[in-house]
Amino acid sequence: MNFRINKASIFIITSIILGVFTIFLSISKGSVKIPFNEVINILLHNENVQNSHKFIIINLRIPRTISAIMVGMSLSLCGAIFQTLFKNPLTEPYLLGISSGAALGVTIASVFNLFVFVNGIWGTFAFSFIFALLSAFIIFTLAGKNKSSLLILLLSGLAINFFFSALNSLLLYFNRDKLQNIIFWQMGSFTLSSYEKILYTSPIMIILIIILLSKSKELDVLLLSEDTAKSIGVNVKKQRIFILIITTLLTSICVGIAGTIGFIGLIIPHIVKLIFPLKHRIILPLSLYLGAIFTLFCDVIARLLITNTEIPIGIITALFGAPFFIYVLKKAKANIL
Amino acid sequence: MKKILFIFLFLLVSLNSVFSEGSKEEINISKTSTILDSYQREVKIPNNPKRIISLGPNITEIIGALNFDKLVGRTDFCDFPKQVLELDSIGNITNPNIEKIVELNPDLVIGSAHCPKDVLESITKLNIPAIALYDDNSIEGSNKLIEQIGKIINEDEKAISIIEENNKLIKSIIQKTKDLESKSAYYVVGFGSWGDFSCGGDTYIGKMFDLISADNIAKNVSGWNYSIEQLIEKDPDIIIISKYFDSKNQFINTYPYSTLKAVRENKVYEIDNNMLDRQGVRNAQGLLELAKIIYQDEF
Repeated sequence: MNFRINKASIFIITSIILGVFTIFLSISKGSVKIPFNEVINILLHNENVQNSHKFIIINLRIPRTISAIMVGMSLSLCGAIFQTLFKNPLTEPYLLGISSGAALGVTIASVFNLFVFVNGIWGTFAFSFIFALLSAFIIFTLAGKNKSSLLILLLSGLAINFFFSALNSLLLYFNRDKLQNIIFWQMGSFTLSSYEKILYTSPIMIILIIILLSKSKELDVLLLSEDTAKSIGVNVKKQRIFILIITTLLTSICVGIAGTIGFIGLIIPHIVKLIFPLKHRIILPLSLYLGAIFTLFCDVIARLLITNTEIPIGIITALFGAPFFIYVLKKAKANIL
Repeated sequence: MKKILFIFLFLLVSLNSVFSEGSKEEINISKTSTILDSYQREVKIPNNPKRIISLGPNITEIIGALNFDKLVGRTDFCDFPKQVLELDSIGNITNPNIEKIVELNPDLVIGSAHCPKDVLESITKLNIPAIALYDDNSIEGSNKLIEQIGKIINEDEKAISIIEENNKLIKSIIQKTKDLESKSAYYVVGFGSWGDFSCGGDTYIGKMFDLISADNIAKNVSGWNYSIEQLIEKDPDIIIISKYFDSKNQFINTYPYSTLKAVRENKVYEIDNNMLDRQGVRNAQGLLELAKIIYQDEF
């Protein structure tokens, strides 16, 4: 017998096991302790179960798990794509200030009661998209002129982050009565996930994800020099702007669902590229998958870290992400600064 | 003519100030005493302060009940008794506007447990005695605080009578609720995407529930942390929420709270949580409101 065990198959098997395990963990763990048997019973037979436990699993934990998967996939994918768009390893929606733009949009929508359409979901997303786009284009203009110098990009993102967060705080100061729901939400949380929200957002997210995945070839080309790209027949500028808009839209939907969660888009694509320094055809789907697992895992930690309470997931991802950021910065310094 | 009048007035004013200065000094000698505030700071304060700035809503309520006329300043958060709104505000609780405090020319500044020590220090350095006063978070603690403030602002008798009145009310509430059947209740301290907070058994609001033999679903947790999952599991008969900040409306319209039995059966009640939260003169009244919500018709 000759098993051909290579890096790829180990990686794939491990991540499948990890995925199944994390999903099960997310469904079975929370502040209310539900015994293993009962969880299985609720999921499979649906008999002899306590009604409240059934509700917690079916109507709280499962929607929460789905939301975390959707948002995790999207943010990780957006991070991978931003890194290519700006030819820069240290970008992701949060660090570029795009998430805080989106968050400002959400605050404006809720403070001025611009909850139009279905339960306010679309009103919120429209505003978060407009402001996310605004920050994306500020960044894009700045980065375009300086050929995405790492420093310029990071500092611009920082400035946009500060500016939009300040506007956000200012708005909340004037509207203290809305503070309760918004301010902490800016650290990101999946606590209030519901099937309704998932139903309205997931189809669009899936379509956007498919569009972005289909751009793998173009993204490969964008990494080449502009002349080479032209000779292959790719209109670099047009592609960059199109992909930027789709990515920003996806980011703003994520912010609308769960608030600003940072660093997922930084950590996951990096790990993927570390193991598979390949084409986007491979990098993007892997980032998608691992992004979902990582986010789900962080959400489980957020639920279990303190007994009887849940903390914002943004705290957990930042705790992992910020040291990782410094590590990448140290590595990248030699090449880019 | 005008000039003469002006000079005359000027003389009168300066004479007056000379005299009053003299008499003030005299008062200072005999009428200050040193006290130890709740931060264990030794501060020299006037025996009969007449211009007091309060740096805490609960302090404002206590002084308002003892002798309202002695208050000259309040914080943005002080809103009871109603007439305090006419007083100048010195800003927020933790970071008051010191220039405004000086402008109001107080002879005593009193802060609560939320007032940072260094704020008080910097006010005291400007020759304005500033102290912090607080006690245990409980009804007994509130009583002790009322008594202490009564002594400091020279209104001891009023303080004692308020405390006695409150104690009488509390006793009657305890007596009445002792044998009543309590519905299960959940007290909302915070809710939403950043987490759920309620009064655990060891918190002072949790102890108020115990006092009136009420069934607090959060009694088994310690502190204020709770979670939506536990709330759904316990699914209480009634829910009590702050009447401020549009809280009830937001609560009942947010999934998954909207699925709770109490929300479906329209058993979410608003309370003026300031009566419970602020360690002051209204705690007994707050306890009464709480009992009325929990026992409804029986009470």
